[in-house]
Amino acid sequence: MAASSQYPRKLELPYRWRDVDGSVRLEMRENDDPAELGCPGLARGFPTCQATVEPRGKGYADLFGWLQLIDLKNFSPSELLQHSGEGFEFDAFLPLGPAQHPFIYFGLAPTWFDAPHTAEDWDFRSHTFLCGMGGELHEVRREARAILGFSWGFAKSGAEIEFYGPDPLGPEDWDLHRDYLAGAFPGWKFAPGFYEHPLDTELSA
Amino acid sequence: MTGSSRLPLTLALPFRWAGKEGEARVEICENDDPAALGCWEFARGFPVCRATIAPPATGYSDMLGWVQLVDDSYHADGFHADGFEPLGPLPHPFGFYGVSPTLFDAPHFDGENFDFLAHTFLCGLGGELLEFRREARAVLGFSWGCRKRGPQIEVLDPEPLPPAAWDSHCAYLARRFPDWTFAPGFFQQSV
Repeated sequence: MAASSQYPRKLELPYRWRDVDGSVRLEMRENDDPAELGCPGLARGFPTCQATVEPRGKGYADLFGWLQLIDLKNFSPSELLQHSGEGFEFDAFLPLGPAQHPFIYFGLAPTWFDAPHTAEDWDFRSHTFLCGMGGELHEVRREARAILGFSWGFAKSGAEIEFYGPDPLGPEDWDLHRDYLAGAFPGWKFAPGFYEHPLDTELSA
Repeated sequence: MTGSSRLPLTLALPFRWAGKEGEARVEICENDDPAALGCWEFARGFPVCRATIAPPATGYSDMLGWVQLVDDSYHADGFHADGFEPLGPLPHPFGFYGVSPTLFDAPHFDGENFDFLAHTFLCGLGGELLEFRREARAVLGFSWGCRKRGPQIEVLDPEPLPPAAWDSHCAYLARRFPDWTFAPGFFQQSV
């Protein structure tokens, strides 16, 4: 855990997908301009994270999805927060409504973005994974294959907000979520491990 | 309409959204390497459409989505929402949504004849972040497509669509996605 003054932090995660080398570049920083990010003023001081994917992808075989699970503590249940508080659960992109697939963003080299904020004293830990699809285009296999992942989060206590991460996740972290995901998305399969494991990681402040 | 020798075809559509000026860049090229795009071999010679957005968005307020409707001779029931089938049915109208999402489509058909016309719209969301109004607001649109007759595949030029084209689809979209509303006209006209 670290004070927000120690940010921004960057994390680069190389990967290989269908014989093409790529890289995810993540930046986690303090939200110092909530209006610019489309957030209310109370989001100031919380973390905001963005991850971009290179190369940009050429076609259907390069379509990726970002899948995020969050472990949320100290929250007030509401219609907005469909979390039990009992471990990691799927984090949907609420403005689009509930989806029947497990991706928060999906497309050609989709950018992942999150800027959580709350008036409550949340403890928010996220496991975020980049996934590809198993099978061929017309096979419609609906199988998510994790490529890489990272953890990040924050803990708010009164006016103090401390940040977690970002830190690379391993395939064993993905595997811990597979049973839950299979129950949450019964039309989908979640292949074990990382598909073509990341080659190396580099963390810089 | 053009043969593949004139490809790629490009179209730049400036816009303003969330107080920021941007540009959608459409490129129609020939599918000359179906395997690399994840397509079957019979997709060779068909058009591939990519539309990118610049500059990159910075947060929730300038997130955008692509809504595509297709009128093709395979379905033969007029314009219909064109989602990405491998993801299954979606509760919202966007094929792609997020931080400056790229639209990608590579239609192909292995029959003798095939007509494909797409109306593709860049949209934002109405309301504030946590309002969850579920209102799509079109920012701009363009048409593209192809016509296959035997071995000949002709590609339709990408052309800007007027707000009236979006309006002509709103009633269908409202029926297809009953939890959503579709604001008429283009929101923040192209600059």
